[in-house]
Order: sequence, then structure tokens, then C-alpha cells
Amino acid sequence: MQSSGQMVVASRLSDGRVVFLGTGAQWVEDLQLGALARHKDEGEALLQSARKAEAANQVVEAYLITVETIAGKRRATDWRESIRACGPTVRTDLLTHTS
Amino acid sequence: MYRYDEFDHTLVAERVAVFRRQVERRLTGDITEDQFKPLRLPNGLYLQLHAYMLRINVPYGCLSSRQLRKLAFIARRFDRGFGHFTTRQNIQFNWIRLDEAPDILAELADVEMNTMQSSGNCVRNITADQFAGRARDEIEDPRPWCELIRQWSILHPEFGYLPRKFKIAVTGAASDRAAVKFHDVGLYLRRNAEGVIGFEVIVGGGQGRTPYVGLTIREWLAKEDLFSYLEAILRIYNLGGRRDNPNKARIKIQVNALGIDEFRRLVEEEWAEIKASPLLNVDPAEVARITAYFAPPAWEDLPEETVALDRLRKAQPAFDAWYRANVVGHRTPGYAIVNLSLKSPGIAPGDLTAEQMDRVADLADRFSLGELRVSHRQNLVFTDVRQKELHELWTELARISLATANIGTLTDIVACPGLDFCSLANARAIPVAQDISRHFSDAATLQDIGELTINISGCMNACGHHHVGHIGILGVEKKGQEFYQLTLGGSSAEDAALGERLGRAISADEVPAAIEALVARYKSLRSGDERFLDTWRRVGIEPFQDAVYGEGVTPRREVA
Repeated sequence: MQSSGQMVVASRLSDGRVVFLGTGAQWVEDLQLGALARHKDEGEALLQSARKAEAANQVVEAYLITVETIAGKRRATDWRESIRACGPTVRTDLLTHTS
Repeated sequence: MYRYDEFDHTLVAERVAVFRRQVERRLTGDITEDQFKPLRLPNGLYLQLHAYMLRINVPYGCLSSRQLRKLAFIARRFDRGFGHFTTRQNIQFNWIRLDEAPDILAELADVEMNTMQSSGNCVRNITADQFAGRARDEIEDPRPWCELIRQWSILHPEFGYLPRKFKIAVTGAASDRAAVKFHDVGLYLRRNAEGVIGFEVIVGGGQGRTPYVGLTIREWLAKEDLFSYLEAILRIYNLGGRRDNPNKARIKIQVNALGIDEFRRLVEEEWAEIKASPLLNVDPAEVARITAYFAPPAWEDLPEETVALDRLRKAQPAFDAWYRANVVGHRTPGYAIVNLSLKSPGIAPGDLTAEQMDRVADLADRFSLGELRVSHRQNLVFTDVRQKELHELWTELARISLATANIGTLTDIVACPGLDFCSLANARAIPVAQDISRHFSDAATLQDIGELTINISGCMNACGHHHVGHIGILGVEKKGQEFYQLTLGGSSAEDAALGERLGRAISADEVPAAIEALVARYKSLRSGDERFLDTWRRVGIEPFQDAVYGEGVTPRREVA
């Protein structure tokens, strides 16, 4: 079973780490735990929430990415975003998490 | 090496304090990201794919063992245990926290290092021949001039907001190991007809999406006129360089648009106005003061160890291979220059772990008078090794995977961080380098192939200098997939040339086989000891196109 949706990704201001907007306006490091927008309106709402977090100096450079869910696991459809979510492909000892 | 005086210490300490306050204001929200970005970049702090990246200047590639130990400490304490040496002789850390960045700058200041102007539209780190002061083919040590230019350019009141970044390289050697013709300004120390040493001045070189080989703007410039002439060049660029499009803002675009003759006329006209200014005269006393920092060390009176070394080389082929590839003649009898390859098979080019840094620092103290260099080809250099200790050093380096016998060969690959780390990249560079280095890991094979450089960039910004690789590899993205465009025939040396595109881009999986095919074709065509580059220049592109794309297949020029 495959489905797709959108999530908000950003860099955390204090340490620059890649974070995803979760439920309740919390930011999480694991793509699997972020809030998933199934429709365009939901995506816009997530982005509005991210803009507030940028204004509150929690994150910088927030934007929407497309993710697909295959067999219950999400992954970014764009290669660059997949590397952002999972960490470098060349230093697997440095993987941020196992997404 | 140069040592900070009280002015340097004060300047750097004040800069750290100012940056600490700027970071605090950003974290508390007193300033926005748009306001903060122009403040962090001139301190070398970027926001990359996974975290902040800090670029630290290694002035003209000179590093002491004490400084390297500090870098090891920073790698452990503030990063993830490794650093990456770049094609501009700097080092970058990839996992920096913003709130800790001022502490890192303070740690660096303790060992007389800084990050000032390692980014931003200003004069960047001055680069030089990594063998400076030790090379046999050198007419004068370029390091004092590099230091003088560094001091002239740091916080220069007129050139802090140039149209774009500005890179200067200097060499005093006949062999160009500093890619001088690919800098905004390049300086060759040259003798004029009377035998007086001055500078040949090159302008408008560069890579990126619009590469140019630099052109000679002045055949010979007296040393005392260096600052006034540089000032005139920078002023013409600052006034006339484009600011409407960052891709067309480098001085190379201006020089090419005007033509070298008109650009020269403008510079000479400006120079005539300012050259008499006492502010811009090079003070001989100051030159002497700076030069004293780079006085040769107290080398021992040693014999050449030819016989003993020959015996060891015959007995141990692995040592012989390393000696041939990595050891370079020194200007002083009984000594050698040793290249430490940061390109062992499967390793990201230019990466060094904190443990390796500490160990290299110890070895530099033991074998190289506590001094080392960073090369623009992402390797390290021990400058003053006693020939009688070469075998012992080789043994020690092998223990920490830094004795790979491949300097100047196909696996001495230059690669940018690529899409694994860089927010500008379109494709990965490091895995391609790793695949090639694993594929060609046999020292005898490399020795047979001879001099052959490979440079890999993950995007058109060309930080991996793909335009000047004998084989260049440019990562491109097409419909979400990585492809690689090959170029052949580039050179960053004294025979400077830009590579020519071979044909359609290929997938990452196809790259090692394509390199294999190119090498096989070269070996079948070479005449005697002819280098790959010389064979290419003699036979042209077609035999190599045939080797990669098949006989008679006209390669399409579009991507993918």
C-alpha cells in the first residue's frame, strides 16, 4: 500500500539539525514522527505553523517536502530531502536516525 | 611560521567577542536570520544540509602540530570526530552547533587561528604552494608575501563588500602546485630581464559555472608596488564588477567582458593615481620583519641517504612504491618532503579523524620539526623529514592509514563534500571517489598508469575543481537522479587548461568502468613515458569517446 503527503522540514536554530514539524507544533528529528498533510490545505496549515516557529526563532528555512509511505514507512521522494532526513550516505556511523 | 603579534591577538579576540554577542542576539531573537546571515558568513559559519558548517582558515596551508591538536580537540568536543580539508587549504567541520560556535572561535584564537573572511564577498584565505620554502624549483619563498597580503586584506575598509568572493594564490616555484591561473588574482614570483625578483600578475582565472584560465595583466611587477597594484585591481573590480547576478559577479566575468587589454588599461590608470601613496608602499622593514618568521629552520648538516634508501626500497616494494609516489626532493641535502595521502581506498578525500590528527601532530613533532602543510589537493605534507628516518615515518604512517602510495595518481582524487553535506550540491561526490579508489587500489597499477588527476564536483560551483582534472567528473541532477558528466584534458598546473566535455552524462554505477575504459585506451595509445594528459593532447577526444561510449557512437551532448 502506497500513499503520499507533505511534511514541513526545517533547520533548528540552535544547532542547525534537520527537524520536522510534528503534532502540537513540536519539532522532531525523525521523519517518521512528523505531522503528515494529506491534502493541500493541511500542508498550508503546517507551513503557517512553521512560519510562526521561524518568527519565534525556533527554526530557520522551513519548507514543505513530499513524502510517500510504503508498507508503513515514510520516505522523502526527493533524493536531496532523503539525504537530509537520513544523514550522509558515506558516513553511516553518523546517521542521524534510521529513517 | 608566522606568530600573532599583540595586534593580531587583540583583533581576533575582539572579533570572537563581537561574534559571541551576535550569536546571543540571534538566539534570543534580537536579530532575524536575514540580519544574522551577513554576520555569520564572514566568520566562516554556513548552514548546510545537516547542521552548521564552520570553515577555518589555514593560512597558505601552514599548520603547526599544536594547531592540529587543537583541531583534533574541536573535532571531538564540538563535532563528530573528524574534519575535512578543502581545495583552498582550509579545514571544515560539518556538525557545529550555533550556540557553541563562539566557543570554537575562542579555542582557535588560543592557537593563533581564526575564521575571518573564510566566507563572504571579500578576500578569502590566501593560498600557496604547499612546498613553499622547501621546494627545489623555487626562486623565493612565497609565504612572507602571503602573510603580507593576508594582513593587507583582513578587514580592508574598502573591500569588505565586493561583488563576490575574491581568491588570491601565490607561488615562487617553476612548477605550479597552487593552481595560480585559476584564481581571481594569481601571483608568480618571477625574475625580470635584470634578474630582479618581482611578480607576474595573473587576473580573471576561476572555475564555477563559467571557467576561465587567468590572463597575465602584468608580466613583471616590482615587489614594492604589490599593494598599490592589488589595490588598483580590487578597486576596478569593486567599482565595475556586476552586482545584479551572483553568477556573473566574479572578476573573471568583468575581465572577459571588457577584454584583458581594456581591463589592464583601467587598472594601470587607477594605479598611476595611487601608486605614490605612502599608505600603499611595501615597507622593506615590514617585509624583513615578516620574512624573519619564515626563516629556514636549523637544518642539520646531513648526507644524502641514497644508498641506504635504495637498499630499503629494493627490499620492500611497498616502501619503494610509497617513496616514488609520496616523497619529494628537498632543497637541503639529507632531508625530504613527504606527502601524507588522505586518500586511502574507500575514504572520503580530505577527511581526517581526530585520532589521526593527534597522531599526525605527534609525528610532525618527531619527524618534521613540528610543522606541516595542507595542499589544495586535500593532502597533508611534512616539510622537513630526515631521509634516514623516511622508512620509520612510513611505518608509522601506515599504522594510521596515511601511507597510501598514490600522490599525483588516479586515486589521489580531489572531491568536494557534494550532496552528502552541501546544500548547494546536485549530486554526491564522495561515494564516486570511494568507488574509484577501491576499484584502483593496487599500487603497482597506479604506478604503471602514472600521473593522472581526477577531480569531482557535486555541482557547477566546482569546489572539487572538476574543470582542471585530467579527468573531471561533474555531478548533475536529472529528474531526481544523479548523473556524472566527464571532462578530459584539464590541468591546474603551469600548463593550465580547462577540460573538454566527453559526451553524455553517465550514472554513478558506470563511472568506475568509464575510468577503466579511459585508462585502458590511454595505455594502448601512450608513447613511452607519456602522461595521460599528453596523450590526450596528442590524440584528441575521439579515441576516448570511443572507449567510453563505443566505437562510432557519437555521444550526445545533453545531460543524461
